[in-house]
Amino acid sequence: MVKKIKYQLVLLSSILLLQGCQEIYEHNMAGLPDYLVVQGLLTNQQGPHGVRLSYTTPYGNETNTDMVSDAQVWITDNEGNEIYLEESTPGWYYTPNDFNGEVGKTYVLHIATPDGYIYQSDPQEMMPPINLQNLDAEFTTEVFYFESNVSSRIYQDIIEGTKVYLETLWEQGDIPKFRFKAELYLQYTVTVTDMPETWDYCWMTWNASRFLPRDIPDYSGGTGYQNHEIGFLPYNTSDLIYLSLPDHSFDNNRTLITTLYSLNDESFAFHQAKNAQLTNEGKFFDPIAVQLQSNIHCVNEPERKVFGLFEASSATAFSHRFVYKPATDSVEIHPWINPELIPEDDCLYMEYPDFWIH
Amino acid sequence: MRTVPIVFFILSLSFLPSAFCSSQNPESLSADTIQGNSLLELLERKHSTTIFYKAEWVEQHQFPTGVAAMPIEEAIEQIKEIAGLNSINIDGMIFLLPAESSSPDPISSGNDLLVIGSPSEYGRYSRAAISGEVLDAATYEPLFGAVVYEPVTETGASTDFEGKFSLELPVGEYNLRISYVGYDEKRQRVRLISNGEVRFELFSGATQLDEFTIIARRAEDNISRTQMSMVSMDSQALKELPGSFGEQDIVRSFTMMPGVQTVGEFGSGFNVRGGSADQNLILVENVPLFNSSHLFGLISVINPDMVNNVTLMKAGVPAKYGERASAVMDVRLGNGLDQEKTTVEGGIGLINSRVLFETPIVEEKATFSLGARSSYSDWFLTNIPNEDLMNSSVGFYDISSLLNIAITQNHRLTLFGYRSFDRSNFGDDLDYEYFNNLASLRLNSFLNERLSSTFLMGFSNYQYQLDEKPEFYPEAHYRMNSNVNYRNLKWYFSYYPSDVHNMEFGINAIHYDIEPGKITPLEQVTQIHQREMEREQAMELSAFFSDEISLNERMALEIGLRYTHYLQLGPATVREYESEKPYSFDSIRDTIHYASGDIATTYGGLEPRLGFRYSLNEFSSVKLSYNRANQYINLISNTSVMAPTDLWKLSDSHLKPLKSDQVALGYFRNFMDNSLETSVEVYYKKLHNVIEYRSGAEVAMNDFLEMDVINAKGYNYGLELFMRKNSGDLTGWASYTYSTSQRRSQSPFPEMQINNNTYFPSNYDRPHNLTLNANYHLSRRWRMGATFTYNTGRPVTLPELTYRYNGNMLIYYSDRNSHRLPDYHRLDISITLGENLRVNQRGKGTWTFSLMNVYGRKNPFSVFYKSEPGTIQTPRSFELYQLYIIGRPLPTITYNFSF
Repeated sequence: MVKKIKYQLVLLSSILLLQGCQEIYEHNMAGLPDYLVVQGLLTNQQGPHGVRLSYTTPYGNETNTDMVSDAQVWITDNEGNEIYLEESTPGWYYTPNDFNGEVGKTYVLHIATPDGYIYQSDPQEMMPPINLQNLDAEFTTEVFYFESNVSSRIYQDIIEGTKVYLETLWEQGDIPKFRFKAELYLQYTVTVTDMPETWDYCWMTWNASRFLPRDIPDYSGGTGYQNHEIGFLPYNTSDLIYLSLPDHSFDNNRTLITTLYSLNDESFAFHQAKNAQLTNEGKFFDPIAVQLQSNIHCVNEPERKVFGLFEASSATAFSHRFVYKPATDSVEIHPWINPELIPEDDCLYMEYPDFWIH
Repeated sequence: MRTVPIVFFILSLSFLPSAFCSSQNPESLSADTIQGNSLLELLERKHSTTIFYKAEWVEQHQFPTGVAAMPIEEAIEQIKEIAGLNSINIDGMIFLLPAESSSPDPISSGNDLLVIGSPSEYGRYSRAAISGEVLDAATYEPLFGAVVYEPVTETGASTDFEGKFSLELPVGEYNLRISYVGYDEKRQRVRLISNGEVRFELFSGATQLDEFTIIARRAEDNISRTQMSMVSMDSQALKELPGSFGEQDIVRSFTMMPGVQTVGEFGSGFNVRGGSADQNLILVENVPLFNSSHLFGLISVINPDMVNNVTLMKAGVPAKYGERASAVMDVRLGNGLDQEKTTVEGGIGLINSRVLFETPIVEEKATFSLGARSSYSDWFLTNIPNEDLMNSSVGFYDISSLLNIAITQNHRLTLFGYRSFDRSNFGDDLDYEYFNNLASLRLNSFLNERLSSTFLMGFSNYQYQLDEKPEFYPEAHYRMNSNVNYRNLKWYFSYYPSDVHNMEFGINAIHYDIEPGKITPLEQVTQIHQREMEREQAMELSAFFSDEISLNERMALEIGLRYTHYLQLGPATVREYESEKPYSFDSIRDTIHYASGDIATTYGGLEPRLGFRYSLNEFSSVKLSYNRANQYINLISNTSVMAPTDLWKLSDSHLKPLKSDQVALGYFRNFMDNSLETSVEVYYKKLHNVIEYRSGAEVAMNDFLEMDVINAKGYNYGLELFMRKNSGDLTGWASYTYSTSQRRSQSPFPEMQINNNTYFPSNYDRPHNLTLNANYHLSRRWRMGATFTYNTGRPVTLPELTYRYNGNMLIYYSDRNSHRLPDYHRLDISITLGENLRVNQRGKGTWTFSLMNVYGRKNPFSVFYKSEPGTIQTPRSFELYQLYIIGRPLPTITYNFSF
C-alpha cells in the first residue's frame, strides 16, 4: 500500500514538474538568397596563399556548401601591385608560390563572381609579427567525442595527455592582437613491404587546437592572460586513433608547432566575435546574439550582405617538445627546431630526416 | 417579489423587542424596582419612541421605578449604567447595545482588518464616510434597521429599507459593531482612510463566515481620485484572483492588468508599459525587493497570506516615490493593531505549503505576525526514474514577520523582517542559491490633526551564489557570488492646511553597496583564478514635495517635485576612452583610481510630477498625468528574461542614469451604480540612457562592462482598455492593451550600433495583450474562476543563415529582435469550495482545484542554442531549441485552512 501511494505521488509530481520541456524550434528561413562567404588568408610566409569562396545556406536547410567557381580573384597592395589568384579546386583560389605579404603593407582583396557582383575588402594592413612569450603544460585528461559509424550515436572518450597553455602578458594600451594555431608533430616508421628490416621514416602534423572553441586569448583580464589552452597532446599512442589520426606506428614523442598570426583591428574583431559565437551556446533565455562583421563589401550593390574575412597576417611559428615525467607528474618543455625546416607530411626511405627526434 | 415577505419579516423582527416586552407579566414589578423589559416598554409608550434592544440584555436587571419618570435621555443613561449597555440615537430611534467591556466575546466575523479607502490616500483626509449595506448572509437580502456602531466615538447609523447606511467618522482605526435583532452581532476592525463602501453580512442562525465580502474602497474611487494608472488590490480581492499552482500570487496577479506583462511564461519580474523588470520598484513594507521570484519565476516571493494590500502605480507616481523609472508596486503586510485573538491560517499545496500566525501581544497595543512558506519538491525528484532529475533538487522558503506597537496613542512603530531563500541543483554540475533579506522600521506619528510624519529605516540585501562543478573537470570547479546591499532612510510629513490642500514633503537617503561578482576556485586543481570585480558604492539623496489641490468640485490638481542627487563613491576605477574610437582596450586613454569615500561621479535632476482630474459627472472623469523619474541602479542582463544571476550595476561615468518621461491621459466611466468600472488610458513614455547590449555582450565577471553596454534611447506608447465588474455573483474584468516599445542605439561607431542605429522592438514589445477574467459564485461555498490571456509573441533574434569558415559552422543572425515567437495564449480554470459556514466549526478550510493551461498549448518561453559536441569526424554545431514551461494541462489542488 505504501508503495502504491508512493508511486501515485511520484506520478502526480512528475506530471507537475515535467510539464515543461524543450524541443527543436522550427523556423523556416528557406527563400533567403545565397550570399558570398570569403575565407582569405595572406601571410608573410612563402606562398601559395589561399582564398576560399562559397555561399551561405538558410538556417535549418543546411546542405552541402556550394562553392563559387569561375570567379576572378586578385589582390592589390598599397604600392599598386596586383596579384591574380588561380582556382585550383572548386572554390579555392591561390596566389603564386613565390608571393608573400610584407609587414606594413596594406592589401585589398577583389572578387568578381560569375553572377555579376563585384566585391572588395577594406584595406588590410599586415601587422608586425608576435613573439611568443611563454608556454606552460600540465598532464591531465581530456574528453573527446566521436560518432559511431554504425549507430550514429555520439560516444565520449577520456584520454590522458598534456594540455599546453600559452601565457601572454601585455601592458595597458599595448595589447598584442593575434590568433593562434597549434599543430601536433608526429613521426612514425613504416615497414617497407617484402623488405624486412627496412623502414620508411615518416612525419605528419595534426591540428591540435581543432577542438578548442577559441583561437584568440581572452582579453577580458585587462592586463594579460595566463594559461590559455592552445592544444592537447595525447599521451598514449594508442589513443591517437581516437583523434581520427591514421593507424600508424607513432612513437611517443609529443611535439607542438605553434603559429601566431598577428591581427589588425578588423581581423581581431572578427575572430573575437567568431570565438564568442562558438562559445555562446547552451544558455537559456536567448542571449544577445553575436554578429560577425565582415571586412568585405559588395561594390556594385552596397546593401548586399557578404560574410567572412580577408586576413593579412604576419605568421610566427615556434615548436616545442613536451616530455611527461611520471615520477614527478610534471611536463618538461624543450624548444625545438624552426618549424620552417619541417617540410610537409612525407617519408624518407631508410633515412632519418634532419629533424627526426631520437 | 421574493423581497416583500422578507422585508415584512425583517420589519416584524425589528419590532419584536417591544412586542416581547408588552407580553411580560406585570407581576415581575416590585414596589420600588421594575424589570428591564417592562421599563423599556413604559419608556417607549411615554416618549412615543422606539427602543431597539435584545431582551436578554435587560431582563435580568431591576431598575428603580423612578427611572420611568425621568426624561428619556436620563432614563437611558440610567439603564446603560445599570445594565452595562451603550446607546445611540438615530433618527429618533434609540438603539441599545452591549458595552465593550461587559459583553462576552461576540461571535466575531473575522479578524481581517478592513481598509476603507485607497491606501494611496492615506492621511489625506481628516474625516471620511463609510457607506454600504448590511445583508442577510444566507440570503443576501438587505436588513432594514440594522445598526452599524462605533463605540469610541459613539457614532452609529441604521440601515434603510435597502439595507444601506452611511456613517461619517474621523479617519483612523475602529472596531465597528454591526447588529440586528435576531442576528448575531458582528465586529469588524476597519482602517478608515477615505470615503469607501463596505458590505456587511449578518447571520441569523448557526452559520457564520470568517470573512466579509468587502469592497474595501470607495466604489467610485477610480473616478474621483486624481491618481491615474493605478491598480490596487486588498487581501480579499487578491483571494479572488486565479493563482499559480493553487496559490494566489501577488506579482502574477498584476501581470493580468492592462499595461503589465511578463517576458516569459514564468520569468522573474514583470514589465510595465514597455519597461524592463528592473524599472519597477517593488516595495515590501517600504523596502525594495531585488528579486521577486521563487523558483526562477514560478512563484513570487511575497507570501500572499501576509498581504494587506498592494498598489501598483504605472504613471503619475507621487513625488514621495522615486528610484525606478517605470512603476512602483507598494506591498503592505499585516493587519495593524487590531488582532483580537491568536489565529493560524495557511495552505497545503503540491509544491509548497504556507502558514501564517498572528497574535496580539498586548491588546490593541502590540501585535505580531509570522508567515512562512516552504517547498518540498526534493523527495519526488529523487524518485523520478531519470538520472538528471534524480540528482537534481529545487526548493525555497521564505519567512516574514511583522511587529506592530502602539508606543503612545499618537505614535506607532512597525518592525518588519523578511528572508527568502532559493536553491536549485541541476544534476551534479550546477548549484544556484539566492537570498533576499529585508528589514524595516516605520514610525508613524500623528503630531496634530493636520500634521503627521512617517520615519522609515530600511535594509534590503540580495545575494546569489552559483557553483559550477562539471563532472571530470575539477580544474573548472568554481563558485561565483554577487551581493547587493541597500540601506534607506526616509522621513516625510503629511500636512493638511485646509480641506483643499493635501501636502506631503520629506527627504530620503539611500546607500547602495554592490559586490558585482567574485569567482573562487572550489578545488585545489581548479585552473580558474580567484577574481573579484570592483565593489560599487553610491548615495542617492532626494527631497520631495507634493500637494493635491481640490480646485473645485470637479477639478483637482496634484503637483509634485522630487530632486535627486546621486554620488558614485570610491574606491572606484574610472577609465577614460578616446572620443573618436569605440570603447575597447585599444581606446583606453587613461585610468583614474578614486580612494574610498571619494566622489567619482555625480548626477542630479529634478523630477516633476503632475496629475489633473476633471470630473465630468458623478460617474465619469478625465485625468492627465506627467512624471519624470531618474534611475541610478540597473539590472545588467544579456538575456531577455530576468534571471537570478543577472548583475545589478550602479550608474557611473559611462553608464548614465536612466531617465523616463511619461505622459498619460485617461477617461474613466462607471456604470451600474459603480459596480462596473471602465477606463481608457493612453500613454507615451520616452526613455533616455536605456541600457542595450552590443553584439555578443558578456555580463558575468566583466570588468570592462562599459565596452559591452550601450546607452540607447527609446519610447513606449500604448492604449489600455479596461472593464471590471466588482460586485454580484459574477465578477471579473476584461483588459486589452495595444502597445509598442522601441529602442535605438545612437553610437557613431558600427561596433556599438544595433541594427544600424534604426529603431527596433525591445524585448518587451508585445503589441496585443488581452486578459479575460471571470469569477462566478455558484453558491455561498462554491466559486468558479477562469482566466484567458493572449499576448503577441515577443521579439527574438533568430539565426537566418549559416556558413562554413575554417571548418566551423558560423551563423548570421537576423537584425536585433526582428522575428517573433508564436503568440502566447492560455486558459486557466479553477473551482473553490469555501469554508463550512457553521459557527461551531473548529477549523475552517477551503479547497481550490485548478487546471492551468486547459488546452495544453506549448507556449515558447525562450529560444536558445544548444551545442552538439564536435566529434572527431565533425566540428561542433548548434541546434535551436524552444523551452516551454507548461506544455500540458496542469492540475493542482490546494487546501487552505484557518483556526
